[in-house]
Amino acid sequence: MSQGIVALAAGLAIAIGAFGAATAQSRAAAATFEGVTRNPASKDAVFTPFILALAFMEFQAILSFIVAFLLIQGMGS
Amino acid sequence: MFLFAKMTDATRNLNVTRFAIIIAMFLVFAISLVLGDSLAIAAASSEAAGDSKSFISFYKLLAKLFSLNTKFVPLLSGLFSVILLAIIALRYKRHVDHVISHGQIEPLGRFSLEVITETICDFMHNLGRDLFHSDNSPYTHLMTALFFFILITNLTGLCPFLPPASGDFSANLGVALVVFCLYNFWGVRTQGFLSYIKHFSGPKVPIPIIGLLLPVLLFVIEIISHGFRPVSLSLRLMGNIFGDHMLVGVFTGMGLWIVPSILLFFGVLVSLVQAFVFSLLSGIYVALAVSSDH
Repeated sequence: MSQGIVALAAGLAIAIGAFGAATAQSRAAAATFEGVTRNPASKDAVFTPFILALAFMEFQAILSFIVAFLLIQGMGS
Repeated sequence: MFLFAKMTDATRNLNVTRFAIIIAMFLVFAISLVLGDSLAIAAASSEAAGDSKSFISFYKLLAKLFSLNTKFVPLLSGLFSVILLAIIALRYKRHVDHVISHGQIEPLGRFSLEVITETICDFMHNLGRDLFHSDNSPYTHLMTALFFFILITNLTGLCPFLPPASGDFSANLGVALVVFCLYNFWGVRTQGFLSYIKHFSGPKVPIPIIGLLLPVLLFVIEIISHGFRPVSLSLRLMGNIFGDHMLVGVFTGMGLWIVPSILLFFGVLVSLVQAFVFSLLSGIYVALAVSSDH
């Protein structure tokens, strides 16, 4: 019973984390592409903040991945 | 002539002695972290990586051969990438020396080692110029060294049986602590100790009671956020690389040929982006600590 709940918690952790990160990243990417297609000269200026923003958003998904991994690891013992 | 000037700039970026100093600092930190075993999560993650039966690791076999503790496995991996880095640096140095002494530039292959190294050096040079407003700042050396080290460590992880050092929390914390110590040291050196401490408490507020309370609050918050910086840097890198490694491992179990090769391409992208993010964030931390525009 408790093992099932832990497995469910791990799955929910990675699911919600991935959902949030994917939504945020898609919004950022859409805004960036729109800006670059409107003004192609801004490509170089936009590139570094874009990558940084993606990394910051991805960090949340990575944190939830680590939590899910630790939950699954703790389940065996 | 323009190309020649660019090349000498790139050589300055790839200063071998600075590489050696920074990487020696990293090794010292990593050894102390691995020996001290100070964080429970480090132990948990390295155990999780070491105990799973599906990964065969040459470093683990090597550690067993010399009867070392398995905690030294990420250290061996880091040493391997340091050796690779030294070979690349020496080859590039020889190429640049040859160009400088002979004064002629022979056409190189498009994906030769020299061209790739030079592209990365040029890229980091431009990035450092944008960040530090100086054409040859010493902080760019740190960024370039970090980029090369992390990139090569990540890329060795894509070869089978060689788990990368950057998939381990304590090894990454070693690198991030080098960045932490260096940017604090540089901040104190350029601004002086008292004004560096003062810049934690934010700008002056000319309101009677809040003006006294707000800096105290900000100081505490800033200290916490600065302390969390190396942890977040290393957690980000560790999570990405370890997750990617696990993904490749899982998909290799499904089929040997097509599916893992797509993921390996994805892994190359992740390695590049994570190395870029790590070095760029360290550069931003250094630039924030060094700038005195308040």
